[in-house]
Amino acid sequence: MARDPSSLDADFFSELRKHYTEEQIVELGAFIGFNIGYHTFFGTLKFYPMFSPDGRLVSQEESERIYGAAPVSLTAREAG
Amino acid sequence: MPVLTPLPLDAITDPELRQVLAEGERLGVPDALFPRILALAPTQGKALLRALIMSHRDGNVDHKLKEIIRIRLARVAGDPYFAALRSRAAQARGLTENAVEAGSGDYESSPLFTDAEKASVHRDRGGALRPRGVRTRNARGNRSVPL
Repeated sequence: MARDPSSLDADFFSELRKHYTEEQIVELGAFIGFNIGYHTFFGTLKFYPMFSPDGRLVSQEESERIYGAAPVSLTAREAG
Repeated sequence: MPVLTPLPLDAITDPELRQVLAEGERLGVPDALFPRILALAPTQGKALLRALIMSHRDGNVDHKLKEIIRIRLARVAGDPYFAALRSRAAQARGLTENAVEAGSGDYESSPLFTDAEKASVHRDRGGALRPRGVRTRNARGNRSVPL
């Protein structure tokens, strides 16, 4: 759904139905679609978690140093 | 600094917004910063926060699986904030960083996934609809248990 929605064809959903109820398929689809949307917007706003991994309240500058200007990119991983 | 300046916490007086903010704080996703930015548009912000928390926390799909999917999607979108956050509820139920990394990384060679799961993750290419979710093998052998 995130990068290649055209791959979610009838065969894919047939396979999915073997393991998930239709209610669960809708639940997952809604959850994923929702996340794709707001991550896309909020990924542009350059903000970082308020806390370090050990629970310290940190500034945005320190948080950026801790977590990086961008998460480990799946696209970059695959390109590498 | 964030592109948009978050509202100070004490400037958020809407009781419903404060309630969903507290729920996010309890869950750990999001921390207080995200609601403070959403509070710039309180009507939309409340609706988004409610939907976010409900879709993540509630339902009939394993919360740990959703957390793995959520982190993968944040990484796909290049969202450093949500990629770094972790659900306390998912961690309390046994979610590990190994599972998170496997879900976002080289799942094809990961022992945390069954062959069927790898095939479905491969087809999806977005870390999304994965039959029966991520499973791990227990110490007694190949019986898989839900994460």
